[in-house]
Amino acid sequence: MEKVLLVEHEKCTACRICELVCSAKHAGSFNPAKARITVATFLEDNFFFPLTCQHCEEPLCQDVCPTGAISRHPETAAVVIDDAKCIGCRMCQAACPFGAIAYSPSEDKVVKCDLCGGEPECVLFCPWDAIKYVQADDAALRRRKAVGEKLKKALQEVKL
Amino acid sequence: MRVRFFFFVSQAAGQDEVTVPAESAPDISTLVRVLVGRFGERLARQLLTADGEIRRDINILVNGRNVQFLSGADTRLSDEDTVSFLSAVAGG
Amino acid sequence: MYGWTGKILRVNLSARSVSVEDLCPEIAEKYLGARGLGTKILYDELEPGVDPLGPDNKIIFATGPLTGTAATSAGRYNVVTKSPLTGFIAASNSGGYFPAEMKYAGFDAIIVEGVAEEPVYIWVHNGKAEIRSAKHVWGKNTAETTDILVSETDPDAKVACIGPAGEKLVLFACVVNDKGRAAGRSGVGAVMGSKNLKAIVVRGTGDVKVADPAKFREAVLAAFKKIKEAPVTSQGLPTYGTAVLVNVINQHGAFPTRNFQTGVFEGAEKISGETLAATLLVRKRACFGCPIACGRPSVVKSGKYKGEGEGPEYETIWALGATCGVDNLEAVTKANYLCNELGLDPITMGSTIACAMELYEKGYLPKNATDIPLVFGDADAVVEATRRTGYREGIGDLLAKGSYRLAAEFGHPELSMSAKKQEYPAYDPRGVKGIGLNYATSNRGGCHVRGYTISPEILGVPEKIDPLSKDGKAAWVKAFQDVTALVDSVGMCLFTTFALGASDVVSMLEPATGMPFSTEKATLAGERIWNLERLFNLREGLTKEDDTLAPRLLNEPMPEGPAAGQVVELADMLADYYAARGWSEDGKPSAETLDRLGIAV
Repeated sequence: MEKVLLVEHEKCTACRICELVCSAKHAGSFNPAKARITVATFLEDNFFFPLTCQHCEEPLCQDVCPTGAISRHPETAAVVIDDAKCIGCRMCQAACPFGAIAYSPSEDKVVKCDLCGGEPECVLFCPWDAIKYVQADDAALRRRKAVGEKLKKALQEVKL
Repeated sequence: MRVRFFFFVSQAAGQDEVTVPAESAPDISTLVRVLVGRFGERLARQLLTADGEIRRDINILVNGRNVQFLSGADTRLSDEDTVSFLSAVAGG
Repeated sequence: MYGWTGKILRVNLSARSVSVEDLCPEIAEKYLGARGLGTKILYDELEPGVDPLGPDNKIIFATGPLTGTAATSAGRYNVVTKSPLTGFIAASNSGGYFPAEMKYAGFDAIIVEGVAEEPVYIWVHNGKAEIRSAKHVWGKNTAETTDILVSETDPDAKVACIGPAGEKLVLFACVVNDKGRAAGRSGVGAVMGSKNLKAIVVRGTGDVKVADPAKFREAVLAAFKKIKEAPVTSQGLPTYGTAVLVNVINQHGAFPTRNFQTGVFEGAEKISGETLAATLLVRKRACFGCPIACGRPSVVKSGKYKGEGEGPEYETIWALGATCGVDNLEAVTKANYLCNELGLDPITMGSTIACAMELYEKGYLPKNATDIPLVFGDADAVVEATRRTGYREGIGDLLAKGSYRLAAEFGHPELSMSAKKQEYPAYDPRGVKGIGLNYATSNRGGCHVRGYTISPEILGVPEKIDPLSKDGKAAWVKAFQDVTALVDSVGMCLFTTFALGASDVVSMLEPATGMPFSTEKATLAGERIWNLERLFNLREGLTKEDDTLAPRLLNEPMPEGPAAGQVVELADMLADYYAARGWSEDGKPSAETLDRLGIAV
C-alpha cells in the first residue's frame, strides 16, 4: 500500500534537524536554504510546522508543467520531477499552494521532496516523531488531508 | 517515615508522598519491595531493573543523603526519616 | 576547509572598515572553534591591561566546526572578550538560531574592534558585511530591536543584540540572540555597549560541508541514539526542562537561600519545575539542531506579572527566587522576562539583589541609599530592582556594578557570593564540594558550566560520587573542565554530555573536519584551551589568591539540612587541583605542562 508523510505539528520543537538532514542528503551539504522541507516557525505564537510537498492527489504542479516533467513515482507514489525534461520555467513553483517547490540557484534546478525514494531522511532523524512515514490507511490519510485542507485554506486567506 | 516521590517516580506512583511505618520497612531494600507491592508494575519499572535490582539511575536519599554513601540498600530506616526517590532527570 | 567555513570577518568600528581573513588550519586543529578559537584570538591580539570597556578591548563572536551541521545539539557559539565584571577572560555561550545562521552567512568568527562614533549594527550576509546606523534602535529592548532589524534586512535574518542594560554598561549585561537565548555571563553585553554596537544581524544561504558525509551521518545517528537512551537527555530535560533541579538540589540541602545563608528553601515547592510545568509553560522548544529541547516558552496570562517569553530555567528561578527569599513563581518569571528584554544576566542580577538585601537587613546599606526597601522575600522589590538595573535608575545604578563592587562600596565585600567578582550559580558548595572547587578555579569566575560536577555528585552521571567528600574532587573537576572546553569549542551544547562522552564528540568531529582526532587529542585540545584561558588571566594579573570562595562558604558551617555543619575544604582540594593540572604551587602552568600542551608563550 502507498505510504505517506504524516506531520504532527504538536510534536515539533522547531529544531530544524529535518532541514539539515534533507539538505545533506539531496544537496551534499548542511544548508537549510537547500532543504526540501522547511519548519515554518512562528516563535511568538509557539507554532511550528514542518512544511514539505504534500504529494497531492491532484498535483497542480503536474497540471501546469508544460513539458510533462512532473509525474508520480510508480513505487513510492511521490510526485517527482524529471530533471531531463524540466526546462526551469518554474510554473510549478508558482502553482504549488504550499510553497513546496523551489528553484535552487546553486543547484540550478527546481527541487522538491521526493520521499528519498521511500526512505525519508527527515523521518529517520526527527527526534520527536513529528514526521512519520506511514501506510496511507484511512486514519493517516484523514489526518494528512485535514491538515492539508486547513493549511491550504489558511494560505489562501493570507494571499487574499 | 515520610516517603517522597519526585518526577517520573511520582508519575508512576500517582502521588507525591506516602507514610510508611519503619517496622514494616526497616531498611531501603524492604521499603522498595513494600512500595512496589503497593503501587505495582509502573513503579517497579521506575525503581527496578529487569533483574529486580534497584536501578542505578534512581537516586534514593535518606534525609538528603544518597544511600550510596550510607549503607546502600541495607541503610536502616526509622520513623523520623524522610526518604526521597528521585530519577536522574536534568542538569542546569 | 570542512566543518569550518575557513573565513573570519574582522570589523573595525573606529575605522569603519570590514575585512575577511582566512582561518589558519593549524589554529583550527589546536583550538577548534567557538570558545577555543575566540580565546586564541583574544590571547594573541589583546594587549595586557586594556580597559574592558575601552576602545582597545575586542569582542569575538565565534562558532565551532560542528555548528550548523546535524551533529547533536551543535547550534552554539561563544562571545569572547575581556570581562568588565571580572577583569579576566569572558566566554559566554548561547544557542538558538543565530549561531548556525552566522555559519551559513559564511563565517566561523566575527572579530569586532574599536568604537563606533554613533550607535551601529553589523549586517552580515552571504560572505559580506556592512556597518549600519543603529540610532533608531538605541534604547529599545532586545525584542523590539530584533523585530526592527529583521524587518529592515531579511525576513530570515537572525539577530544578536543588547538591550538598554548593555548600552548603559551594566557590568553584567548579556547579549541576547533570537529574543530568548543569551550569551549571559561576565558582562559581554556591556562590551558591545561600550563599542556603540547594538547588534549583529546575520543571514546566509551558504553551505557547511563535512569531509566524509557517510561516516559523519553514521556517527550522528549513533549519537542521536545515545541521547534518546540516556534518561536525562531523553526524558528529564525534554519533559521538565532544567527547572526540575529546584527540588533535587533543595532535597540535598544545597539550594542557596537568602544569599547563601542556608541551603534549604522553605518555598522551593512553590517555584519548582513541577509547579512551573503545571502553571506557566506553553510547550517545549529546541535550539537549532538539538534533539533534547530543554527550551521552555512560558506565559503569565494575567495580573501584575503578566507577560510572555522564554523560561525561567533553573538558575534563574534560584537567582530571582530562592536567593532573594522569593517564592512567587509569577514574579520570578516576570523578572526573567525583564532580564531577557533589558539584556541582563539573571544569575548575577538575582545574586546582586540578594547581596543588597543582606546588606540592607544588616544595616550596612543605609535606608536612604535605596529607593526600594530591599527585604528578603519581597517579590515586587526583585521585579522592580531588575527593571531599574536595566535602565540604571535609582538603586539600579548601584546594582549595575554587581554584588562584589556593591558590597565593597558599603564595606562588606565578604557578603558578595562571587569568585573573581562573578556571582555563583545555584548550588551551595558546602553541600556539593566539587562544584566549590570548580567555582574557585573557573577561568571566568563563579560559574557552573565550566565543570558541571553536579552531574556525578548529585545526579549520578556517569557515576555517583559523594557530594560531601573533598577526596578525588580535583581530578573530577579537571576532567569536566577539559571536556567542557572541548564540547564548547566544537559548537555543541554542554547538555549532550549527560549522554555523550569525548569519544562521541570525536566520532563526529573527525568525519566533519577530515582532520585526524583521537579522544586523547581532542581532550588535550580542551585542556589546552583551559590553560590558554588561565595564561590570559595570569597576564591580566591573576594570582593564587583569586582562586578562592566567599568566606561564608569556607568558614561558616551550613546551618541546617543534609549538609549541616559542612564547609568547603578548599585549600586541600586546590592543592590537589594544581597538581592534577601540572601547575606550580602558586597556580601557574609549568613549562613542562605548556610544552605537553603545545602552547608557545
